[in-house]
Amino acid sequence: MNWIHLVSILGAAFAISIGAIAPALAQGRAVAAAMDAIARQPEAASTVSRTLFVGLAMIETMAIYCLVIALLLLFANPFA
Amino acid sequence: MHINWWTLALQTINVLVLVWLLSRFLYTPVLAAIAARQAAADKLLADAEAARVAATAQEATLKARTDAFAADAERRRAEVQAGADADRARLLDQAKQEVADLHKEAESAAGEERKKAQATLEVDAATLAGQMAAKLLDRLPGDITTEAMFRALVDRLATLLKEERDRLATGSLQVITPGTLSDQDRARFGFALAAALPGLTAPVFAVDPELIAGFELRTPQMVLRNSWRADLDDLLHALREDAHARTG
Amino acid sequence: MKIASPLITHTLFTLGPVPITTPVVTTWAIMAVLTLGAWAATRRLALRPSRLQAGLEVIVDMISGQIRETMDAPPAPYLPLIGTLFIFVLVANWSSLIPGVEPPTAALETDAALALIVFGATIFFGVRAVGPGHYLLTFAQPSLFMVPLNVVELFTRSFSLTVRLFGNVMSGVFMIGIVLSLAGLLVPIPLMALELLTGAVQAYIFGALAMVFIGSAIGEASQREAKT
Repeated sequence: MNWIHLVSILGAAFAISIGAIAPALAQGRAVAAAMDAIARQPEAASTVSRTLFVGLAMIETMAIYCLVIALLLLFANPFA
Repeated sequence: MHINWWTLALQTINVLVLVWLLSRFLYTPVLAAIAARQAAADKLLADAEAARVAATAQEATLKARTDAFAADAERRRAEVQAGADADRARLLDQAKQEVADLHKEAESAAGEERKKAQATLEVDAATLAGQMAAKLLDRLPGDITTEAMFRALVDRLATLLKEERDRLATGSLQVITPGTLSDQDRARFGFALAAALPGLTAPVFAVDPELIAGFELRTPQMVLRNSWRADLDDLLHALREDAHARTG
Repeated sequence: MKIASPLITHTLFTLGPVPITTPVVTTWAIMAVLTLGAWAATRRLALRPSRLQAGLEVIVDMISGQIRETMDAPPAPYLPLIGTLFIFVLVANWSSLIPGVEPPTAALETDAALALIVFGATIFFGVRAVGPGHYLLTFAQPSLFMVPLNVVELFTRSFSLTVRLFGNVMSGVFMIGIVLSLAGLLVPIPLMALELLTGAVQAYIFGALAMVFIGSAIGEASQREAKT
């Protein structure tokens, strides 16, 4: 356990935390906008919810990127 | 981390092969089936449309035929109606004619009957009058009436035209009396007649009780009636004329 | 507790100089199942469809409709590629349901291969639509300064396509592995259900993005063609 391992673990935790906060905010905004749209136009609910799912998956991909980075730091650290 | 390049190449080839395989075994047949169904549906629709058009045409034909039938039926009905009307009119006329004929016939028969009855009545009346006259005459002596009637005959002869007298005289004259005359009377009357009718040949005397009283001179050409029977006939005739004039 | 790295692919055996890894074998199995299933299902296609044929036709028709809507082009030339990408990614993601099978899309090489195919197909269809010269000119749209950006975008979007699919599937497998090692019997089931949903959505997103990339290539080309 040298300092590179320590920094890697801290970096991984930091990446995951940032990658959880920002997509959470983004998904909240997206869901709120979708609810608003459905309330305005209930007949477009199916289209809106389909687009919402795809959009949520796209946003979630950002968190996944952070997870990939964290896993790279933990399991495939090029400097360790 | 390391990328296994062999795996990358194998996976690329794998997916490309899978694209070809699915294209060969899934998409082509399914798309062909969809296209076949589409073609079948199109054909079905076209067939249905053609059938509909044909049905419409057939319906139009049938309707035209029905119309023609209806028109024909109407025409025939009109014809029959006209024929029936004509027949009825003809029958009516005929019946009227027959009724009129019957009426006329009945009328004429009735007239005939009446005439016959009249004639019978007249004959009866004449007979009755004759019999009454005969009865009345029986109360007088025969000579008186014979004389009187002979004088009347001579007066008649005097009033005749000369041609008529000549015709009486030249024909084979027959003198008819109701009763048989004595020879004396015959001679007397013969002379008197000869005096009245110059050129008279000997007359022939005959008997006819119908005369009741009086004389009648008969030749083949003419008859000179001078008897009660003739008078009665004249009277009856005059009465009948009167009756006709009154009723007519 | 030692957690195995999810980033390592295991070599099962070597075929001469070629190492055959687990994802390759799983992919072969999936290919065999899909091909045999398609062959068996389409062996007897009738005008009056059976239930199976009706389902197949609905799937193919749905993909065709999506292609027509997204790319604004007749779907026939793109249907095999897009449809196969969607079906393969979906089946690969859901193959994690079978115990002991790790989905091939959880390996970076498979996702990179798929993205490489999309990359090649984009260039292929773009060139086929307008010819190579015109296709190169589309990188200079709307101005010459956009050429580096457009070229970089061509690669980055393939890379993001790879990492998106890889991250999603791999993280799901990794998470289920961790939970399985912690709790055991029934606890991973909600996570597996979520993984099914994610797998379907990722398959749809992968196909949709492939459609968008190819569609933009032939769309720009056809717009340019209409302009000249």
